[in-house]
This record gives sequence, C-alpha cells and structure tokens, in this order.
Amino acid sequence: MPLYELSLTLRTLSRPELIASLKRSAETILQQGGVLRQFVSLGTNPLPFKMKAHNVWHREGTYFVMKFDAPSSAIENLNDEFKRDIDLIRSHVVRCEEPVKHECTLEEEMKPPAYRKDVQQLIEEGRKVIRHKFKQNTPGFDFYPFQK
Amino acid sequence: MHGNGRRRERDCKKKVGREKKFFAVSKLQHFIMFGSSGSRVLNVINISYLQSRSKRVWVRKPLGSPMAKSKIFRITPKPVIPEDEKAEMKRLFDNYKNSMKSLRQYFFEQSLKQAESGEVAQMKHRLEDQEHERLMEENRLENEKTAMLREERLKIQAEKTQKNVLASLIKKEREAKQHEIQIEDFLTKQMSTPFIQPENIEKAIEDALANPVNFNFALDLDGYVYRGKETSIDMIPEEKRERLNSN
Repeated sequence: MPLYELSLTLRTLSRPELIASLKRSAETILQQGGVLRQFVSLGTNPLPFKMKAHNVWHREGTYFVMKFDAPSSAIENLNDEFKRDIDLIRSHVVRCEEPVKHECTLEEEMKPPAYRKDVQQLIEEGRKVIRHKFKQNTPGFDFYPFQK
Repeated sequence: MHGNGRRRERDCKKKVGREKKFFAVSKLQHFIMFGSSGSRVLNVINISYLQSRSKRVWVRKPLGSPMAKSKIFRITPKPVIPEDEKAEMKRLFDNYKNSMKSLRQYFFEQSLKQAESGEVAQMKHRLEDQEHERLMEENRLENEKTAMLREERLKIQAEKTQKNVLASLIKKEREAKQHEIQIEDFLTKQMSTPFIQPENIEKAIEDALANPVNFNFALDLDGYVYRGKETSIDMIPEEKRERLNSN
C-alpha cells in the first residue's frame, strides 16, 4: 500500500461542524481499507481566487492535509466520495514519493572553467593524440620479414 | 610544250592507279554492307564466290538471310506412309533395339566377370581387404582415444557444473536472507511511523486544528529563514532567529 497525501479545502464552518466533516472524510478512507498516518492543518486562509463548489461561491477556505496508506484501487472511490461531499471545495490525492537526494555542487560549478574538474578532464582528453598505427599482421616477429 | 606533255602522261598514270585502288575499296565496302540496306542483290549474294567469270559457280545464300518471298507460304506435303508399312517398320526397329540392348548387357556382364576372376583383380581384392582391416584398426584406436578424452572432459565439466550449482544455491540463500532482512526493516520502519487508530480520529483532528502549520518560508542573503508571513528580521526575537550555514 503506497503512501498518499490528501489535501482538502473546506468551506468555512464552525468548529464542531468542521471536526465532524473532517471525521467523515477520514472514515471514508478507513472504509476503503486505508490506514491514517498524519493530520496537518494549514489554517483558514483566503482562497487564491474565488471558487464555486456545489453552486456556492467561496472566497475563504480551511486547508487540511491527511496522510494515509491505501490500496491504489481505492483512490478512484475516494475521489468520487469527496467530489460529492458538500463541505469540500477542492480535494486532491497525491502519491508521496521519497524525496530525491541531490548533492550540492554549486561551489564547484561557480569556479572559472579552467579550474573545474570536468573541464580539466576534457582538456586532457583533447590533448591525447590518437594516431592509427598500421598493423603488420606478422605474428611472432617484431620486425618486418619481407623486403621493404 | 614538251615538258607539259610529260606532265600529262604522269597525271594519267596517277589516275589509273587511283581507279584500281577505288575498285578494291568498293569491293570491300560491298562485303561489309550486308546487314545495312544497300543494294538488294548484294545483300543476298556473297561476292567472295564471284571471282571467276568464266565458270558459273553455285552461289549459296548467306547465313541468316530470309526465306524467299515466293516461298513464304509454301507448305511441304508430309510423306504418306501406309499403316501396315508403318507397323512393319516399328516391329523391325523394336526387334533391333531389343537385340542390341540385350547384347550390350551381355557384353557388359561378361566384362565384369572377367574383371572379377582375373589374377590382378584377385590381388586387388586382397589388397583392398588388407587396407580395410588396417583402416578399421586405426579407427578403433582413434575411437578409444577420443572416448578417453571425452571421459576426462565430461568429468571436468561435471565438477564445474557442480561447483556452479553450489555457488548459485549459496547465492540464492544469501539473497533470500537479505530479502527477509529487508522485509523486517521495512516492517519496523512502518511500525515506527505512528498511525492514527479509528477511535482516536477526533482527538487527532482536534490536535491538528489546534496547531496549524505554515510551510511557506523565505531566505535572505545572510541565510536567515523567514517562516510564514514574517518579513523583517527585526520582528523576530533574537533567540528565535534561524540561519542556514553554508558548509
């Protein structure tokens, strides 16, 4: 079961209503065979633009994130459930992936080209002269056995 | 005047010579002109046969010349042979063929018999037998030699395969063990991350709502971190200031 992250945008509600709504969506995850991992609240903030959900215009929303494990087959059902929930303005499920590890090489890259290691390697390679040497095909001799 | 006359004579001689040469050239030209559309007569008649004028020589049509126009639609009548004569001829022919065939066979067999029964042939047979025996013996020896070599080779190969199989088995075992360890690691990792029990949902939601998080942050050139909606370093108390260190 992969780890998913559900981000919810709820309409402005009173506290008990908000808790009830969040509990409802958490329970739908459990019903679909999921395991809840973490809840994060991002507070009530103005929306980036006015949004229409279930025939009502909204300018403010409560942002909430749920992390959960669930079978990938359950995601479609979850999306369907959340679409029909009238307390939710927006919902989106994303799969959490392990962050890619990068090594910072800015210091090396900021050097002038002549000091960079990869450039030095390139210069060295360019200095090598590759000349085609004719093979005499005379096994065992280090000299040319025929008249020159 | 006298001088002029001599010159004229010389000129005449020259002319004669030229004529002779011209004749020779024209002859050659006719000879060559067969293929092209020259004069029709010369196309048919080979001039090389027309050298003597006194005798009349049979002139042959050259090879590849077409059929005469008058003979194009002529059909030569088939020779008519009566039926009984035909049958008689066939009988005679068959008789001839059969007798010749049997004679030929008889002579052939005779010659074979002669070749078999002669002293030289006997000698040849004996030599051939001896050669055959020698070759068989050689073959037997060679077979024994190769059998020995094969046995050795197979032995070495068997040892090798045994070693390989053992190595692969050990490798497989090791991999299985590693896989188990990996699974255990994964499980412990999963168990260590906390998960919310169904009965604790409400409490977890309340906790989360009580501590809202803002993931936004900004950096300035000195490496100071501005969390949320902080915009000025002066607004942050000194003990709460965060700074990224460049290594």
